[in-house]
Amino acid sequence: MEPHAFRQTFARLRSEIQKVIVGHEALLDEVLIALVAGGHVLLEGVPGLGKTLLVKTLAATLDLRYSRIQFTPDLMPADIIGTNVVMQDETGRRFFEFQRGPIFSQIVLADEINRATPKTQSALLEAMQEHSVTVAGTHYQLQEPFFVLATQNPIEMEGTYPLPEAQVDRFLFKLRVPFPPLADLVTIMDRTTGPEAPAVEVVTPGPIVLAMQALAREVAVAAHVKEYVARLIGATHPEGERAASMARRFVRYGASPRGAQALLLAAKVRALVAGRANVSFEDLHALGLPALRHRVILNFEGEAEGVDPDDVVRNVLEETPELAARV
Amino acid sequence: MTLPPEVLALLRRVARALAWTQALVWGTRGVGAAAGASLLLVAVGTILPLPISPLLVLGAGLTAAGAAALLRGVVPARSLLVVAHVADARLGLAERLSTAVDLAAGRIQKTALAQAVMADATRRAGAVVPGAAFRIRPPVSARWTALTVVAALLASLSVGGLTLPATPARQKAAQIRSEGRRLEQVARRLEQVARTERVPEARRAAQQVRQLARDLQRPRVDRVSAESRLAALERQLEGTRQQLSERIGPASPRPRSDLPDALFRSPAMLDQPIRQLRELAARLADSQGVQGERRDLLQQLSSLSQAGEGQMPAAVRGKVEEARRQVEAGNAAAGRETLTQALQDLEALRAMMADEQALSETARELQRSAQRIARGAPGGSGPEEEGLEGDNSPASAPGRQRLIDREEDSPGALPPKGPHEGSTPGQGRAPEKLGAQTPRLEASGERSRVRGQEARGGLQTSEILGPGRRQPARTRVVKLSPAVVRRADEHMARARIPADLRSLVRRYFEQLARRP
Repeated sequence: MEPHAFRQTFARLRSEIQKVIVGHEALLDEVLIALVAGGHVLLEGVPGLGKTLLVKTLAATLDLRYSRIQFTPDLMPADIIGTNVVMQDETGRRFFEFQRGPIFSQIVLADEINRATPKTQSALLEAMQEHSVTVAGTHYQLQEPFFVLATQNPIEMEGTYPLPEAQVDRFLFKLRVPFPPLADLVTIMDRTTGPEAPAVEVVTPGPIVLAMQALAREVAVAAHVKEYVARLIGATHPEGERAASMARRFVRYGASPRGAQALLLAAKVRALVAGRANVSFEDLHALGLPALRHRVILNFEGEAEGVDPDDVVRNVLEETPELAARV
Repeated sequence: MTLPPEVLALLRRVARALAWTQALVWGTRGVGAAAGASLLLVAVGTILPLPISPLLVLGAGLTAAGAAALLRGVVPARSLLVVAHVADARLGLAERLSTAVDLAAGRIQKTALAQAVMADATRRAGAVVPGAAFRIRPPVSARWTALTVVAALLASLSVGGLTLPATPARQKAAQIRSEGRRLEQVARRLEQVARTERVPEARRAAQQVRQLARDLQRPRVDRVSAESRLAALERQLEGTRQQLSERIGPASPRPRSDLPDALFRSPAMLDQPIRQLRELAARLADSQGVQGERRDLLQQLSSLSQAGEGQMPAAVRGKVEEARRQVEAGNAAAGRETLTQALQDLEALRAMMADEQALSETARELQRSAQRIARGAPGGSGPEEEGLEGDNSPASAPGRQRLIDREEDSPGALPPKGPHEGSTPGQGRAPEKLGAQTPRLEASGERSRVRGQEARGGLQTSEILGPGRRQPARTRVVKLSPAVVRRADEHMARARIPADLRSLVRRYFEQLARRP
């Protein structure tokens, strides 16, 4: 695939989704970037903002198998992954047969993921990281591309189980779904209360998505840009030599190396979308918040003072110079 | 993979602009530092006598800053990668150039999109105009730097030379004025010499020395300007003296010995031959005298023409010999004419020698003044004057000069302090005594003690009479200074020693000089 075709495909995908989704341009771009980067997305927002609709529309535009899992407290890991069930053939002989769970799709919507118990949440770990599932000693490879979009409600915390750090770290982006502006709200009402619901077409088959993912990894990154990513990650660590001021004060643990990988990979996709074959500082700045906000673990002081991790990441981006030495 | 020419051209253009911008920054900083240092020196100069002029510091700083800035501008030393970083940042090229440079240099791994990176960088490099982003303009601090330079210049011109009371700078100013007064006396003496000897260069030098002496006595003359003016005049006088010396060189009388020419350039040594020539010329003018004392005249002319080479120049001796032959041939008028010409030559030579000597002595006085101002103590003996006894060879010009300085110190100046000074004979501070005190007279001394208070009461004196004890000198002359030989020559000429004894004395000194 050529960069030009990449941009065209990306634009077509975006415009197709925008037939249904009103506004949320930045959010939509970030979801698509995560898809092309091969990562997973955690969508955070109050109910009714169109999170589920976004994922469903995305699945509709991609020629990929889609499944939705509604996470509840009584959901069990087997409900997600699948289980061996006893079957009987025509001769009456009984045998075990693996019944695949909803994880065996290519686009998985984990709706209200924080409502399930940690045990059930952890069932997603291997699938998200390895793109494979192991049941009763048998290893099952998931079909590529595999893309998990999870949603969670940040307000209603009763009866929820916050995602463990290991689980959160598996998400490439954590995206916050904002309330739409007034003009967008009017458009939403127009589109959804009329006699016909807007329909979308399949514009991108799975192999194209895989080709886009492969091309994104070919984007060149200058040495000093890589160094900048490393310094950004280092600045989130409170004990680091070049820690940002807010990180030093309010952060317990900084971003992991997986954060650096996520930021750089997503920046590569953004560079291609912007018509470049190289990563720029601007790409890193634009994607710093979604890639790092869920990887910064606040300490007690930060929690007590109600510090927003977004502020910490912004502070890290502001205080970390792009070039190590002044030129 | 090589860098595309468009990218390379843009980077070079940016590098030049950056170099000149940085050159302006360097230059501004350097000029500011020089102006600041100059201002500081002006302020310190009111308290301490400084060996350097604030104006000189300002000028040198400006020159150095200009040179450094020029060098920085001409030689852009930045690496292409650094230039690419700056160009990316200022031209909004989103790291296209730096990524291309990294790829070309092999700093990052080539990917399938490497060619696309190069093509993209080339396209953007061709489209971008760096003029506005890289306009060469002076730094913001240039205005303040210019003000500092003006302030330093004004301070140097207006405050320079001012001194605060009771400070070393004020003492130095007083010393400079004192040296000015002393040089005024030197100028007066030089004018007297010029008047009596009728020497033109000395007359001109006297006017210059007088002007310098007056300038040194003006208020607000600092050490640097005083020293520089003294040095300048000294150089000028030395140059004139050398010209005179070159003119004198072939005409001066010179003995067949290894002694330096300078020893035979005293005008006093020509006084005797001039007197003799005048006397002979006068006798030749008297025709009766020629007739009556012809034999005696011929004998005197003969002895004069065959005099030592150190007494008269060869050309003059030749003319005397020619006059002798003319007289011998009976042509007294022609002999008198030739003798008069020889006399005029000798007098002209004497005038040049006197001129040279006067200039030399004046230059030494100027040098002495400069040294005194530099040392800070009138008549002080610097460390460079110690150990001169071992450096009195004729070939060592500085050593000879210092020796001459010591011998010809002005009468008003204090004698230099020696390393073994003491007030009582035999009880000085010499680490090595020469030996026990020896009796000078063949008589016994009278020891007595006077009671009373110093500077009060009467003076008690007693005379000890006796012949001088004959004993050999205890200090052996190892090597004689040529300056002493020259001084001996001068004194011999002045003391009107008879010619036969003079040659004896000369031989004595020449023998001493030849000793190892």
